[in-house]
Amino acid sequence: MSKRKASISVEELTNGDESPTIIKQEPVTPVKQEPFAKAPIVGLNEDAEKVLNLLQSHGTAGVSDDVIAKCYPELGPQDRVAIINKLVAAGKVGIFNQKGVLVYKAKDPAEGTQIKGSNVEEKTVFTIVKEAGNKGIWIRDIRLKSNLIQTQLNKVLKSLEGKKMIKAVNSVAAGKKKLYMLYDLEPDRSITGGAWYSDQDFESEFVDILNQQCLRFLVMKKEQLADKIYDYGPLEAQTLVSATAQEVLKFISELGISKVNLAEEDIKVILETLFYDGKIEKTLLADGTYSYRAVEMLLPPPGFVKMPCGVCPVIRKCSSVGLVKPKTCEYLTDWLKKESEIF
Amino acid sequence: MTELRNLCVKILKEFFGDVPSQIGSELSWGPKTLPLIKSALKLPLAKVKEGLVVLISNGVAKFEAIKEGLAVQYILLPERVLTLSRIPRYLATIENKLGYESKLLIEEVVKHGTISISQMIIKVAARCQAENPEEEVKVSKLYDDAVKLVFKEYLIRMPAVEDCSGNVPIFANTEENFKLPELNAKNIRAVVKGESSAKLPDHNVVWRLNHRRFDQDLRDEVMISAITKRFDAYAGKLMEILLKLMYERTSPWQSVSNPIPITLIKDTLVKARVKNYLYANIQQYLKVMENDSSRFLSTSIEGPNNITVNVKHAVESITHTLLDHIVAHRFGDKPRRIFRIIRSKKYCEQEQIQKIAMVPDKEAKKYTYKLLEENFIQLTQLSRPAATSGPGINKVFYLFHVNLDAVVQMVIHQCYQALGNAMSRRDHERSENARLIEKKNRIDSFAKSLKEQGQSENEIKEMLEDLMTPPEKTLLENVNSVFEKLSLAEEQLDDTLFILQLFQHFQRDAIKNES
Ligand code: SF4
Repeated sequence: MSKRKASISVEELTNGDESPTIIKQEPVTPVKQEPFAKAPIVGLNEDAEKVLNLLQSHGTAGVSDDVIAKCYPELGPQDRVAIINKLVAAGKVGIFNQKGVLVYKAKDPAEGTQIKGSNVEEKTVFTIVKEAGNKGIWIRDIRLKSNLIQTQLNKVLKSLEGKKMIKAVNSVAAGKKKLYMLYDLEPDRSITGGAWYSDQDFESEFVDILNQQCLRFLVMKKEQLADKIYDYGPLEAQTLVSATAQEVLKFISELGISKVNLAEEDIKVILETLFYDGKIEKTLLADGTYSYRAVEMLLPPPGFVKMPCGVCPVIRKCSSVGLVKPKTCEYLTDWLKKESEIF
Repeated sequence: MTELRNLCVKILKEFFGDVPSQIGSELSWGPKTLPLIKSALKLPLAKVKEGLVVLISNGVAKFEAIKEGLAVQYILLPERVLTLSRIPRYLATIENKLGYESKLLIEEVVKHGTISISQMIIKVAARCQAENPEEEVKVSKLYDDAVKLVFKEYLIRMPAVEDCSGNVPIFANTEENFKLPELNAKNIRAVVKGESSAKLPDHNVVWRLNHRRFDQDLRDEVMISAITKRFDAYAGKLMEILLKLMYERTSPWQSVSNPIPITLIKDTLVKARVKNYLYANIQQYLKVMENDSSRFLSTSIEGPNNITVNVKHAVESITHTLLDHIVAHRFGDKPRRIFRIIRSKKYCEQEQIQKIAMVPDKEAKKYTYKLLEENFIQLTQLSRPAATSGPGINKVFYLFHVNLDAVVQMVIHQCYQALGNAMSRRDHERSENARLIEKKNRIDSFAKSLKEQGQSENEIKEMLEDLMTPPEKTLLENVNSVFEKLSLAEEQLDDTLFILQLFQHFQRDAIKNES
């Protein structure tokens, strides 16, 4: 993933000019990797292909001989043995012992070529990592599954990384811990954190900008109607100044401040922050979604916080005796000296 | 409670001077008998008695019999002391609603603590005469105003003394708090004109301020201005009408009003000859206000054509906003977001907070712990019993939540402290500049006497010009602006306090009703 740093300043945006796109970012659309390509397999007869398909559809769970027999009653035991042997020989299928029962599992067609030149350990580790898909796997879990000792495992992982067969990814959820997955997989959103993360860093600046811009949009809607507000009833007017997440998304997309393809869900998350800021209200619509509108708070800042004591960090230590006291308090002195009316 | 004690003493000193404040300070530790107060203060008995009379007649202290009537103890009423500093606001509302004369009458009551209606009128008349010697005082107008003040319950009648033979007087037990005594406007006029000095028939029926009534006005103001701020002036007007209609059918300090028919609101507007935008859109306005998260109104259970005013919810919403502002100013916008998340989710895990607040891990933790440290939020530990979560694993959850009552209580105390701080700073500034202030006062009285001798304004100005040096003048200006700023701060602090106390009032009521 390329680096996306919001090199844009907050002022620039709030000026309202449609600023050029500065944030560079490739879309984070999670790539769904099909674990097993469904390409026709040459050199196998129809029956063998049938069986292979069955195995592939079961993925890593594996299929026992009984199941094959059930699915394809036309194949006799002899046929099944012949087919499995053929598939094993072609490297398409592996045989595993699961709790005393033999099961067959289809192998990734790409695997055969990729692991060429690797030793058994590497193969095992590779398989384990591959099974984890794009959610990745902790090194500890690899060790438990592979039964390799730490130093050996480290070596194997390093070697696989060197061959660009697997990669390590930092997870958003758990700080410094590394997750391993196949080299060309796009990490799952739960690991990257989606639109709000770049290289595992939470883009709080980006969130703040979106927060401001969403509010700006809603306030703008209100201001645009301000002159004509009494042409409508208050309820109609309220509907007119409201916007759905979809509309806000459209505005944000057109603003071009984000090259990330934001989804409606992402905007909802941002609108939710505004809701908790107390700056907007939401109304439940008939279709179960919300519409949002900017609102005024019920009170202006109260008198308490307009004088220094209301925001004083040491109020708990302040009394008529002792070091911190109102008679000599610097905060009060500064505030009283200020020419301007603060009220 | 130290903050409250200190503050009370300061207020008492400001309003009534040294002795009553010293007595108040003694009583703030708990009820005391007269000999105990005397020995603690080492003051002559007469002085102590005088001071106690001041406190009691102003309603900031009371007495009760102990030891089966053998002794009397005196009790300070701290909450009442605090309302003293609210009096300027009371006066302003009264002037606003009922005019200048009513304000003068109330002022007279404040000055004396308790007073009879005739005396009230006579004193105000004398004052008007002195202020404006040329004009004849309209006693009948004052009379009407005074009666109106009683009628509107701004004044409350003190119970008559039935028996004062024992140690403690026994008061008549009467429900007639607002019953007018026998009054005679003619007699009063005669006294005002100096034609008679006979004792007026109502001389022993005395009245004091009905604080609750004034507070009700202030509360209405707060609610109306909140609605005006959130919606518009029309909505504010509607709120005003709703409150008026509420009081016609519900006692004013109920949490929820009785249903108010919408047709009645319309009638009120018609009667007031208002056929404007509001009239045309009443239904829509009601809907909008009802749907708002502030929950001032709700449709009544009696059907869609009735509306109820939910005073308790309104006060809660206003208090929420107040606390939000305080958190935002003290800690920042993001802590406010976190504070609001926790409050609306009731119980909330750290992880959940981060997710909704969209604040980086570390920052979110920092803010949450800051709020915790400053007691704006609380932490509860919940452990799930081992049985349900598998053997040996005893999972512990840490949940944040907001204990609103506790937060309100804490902020109230901080307001007390801030108020006390502002007052002691004012005292300090006054004594620092005592010499200058004294000089200014002397010059002023000199100017006044010159004026009385018939000197013209300009001459006086010239003569006095040089009495103060330029640096002195600037200093004086500064001192004055400092005083102004501090008094304004005190007034505004009281606004904050008032809202928080309203909140407590309705919470307390709720507890009472439940039990
Ligand atoms: S007087 Fe000064 S130190 Fe004391 S609470 Fe106020 S601002 Fe803080």
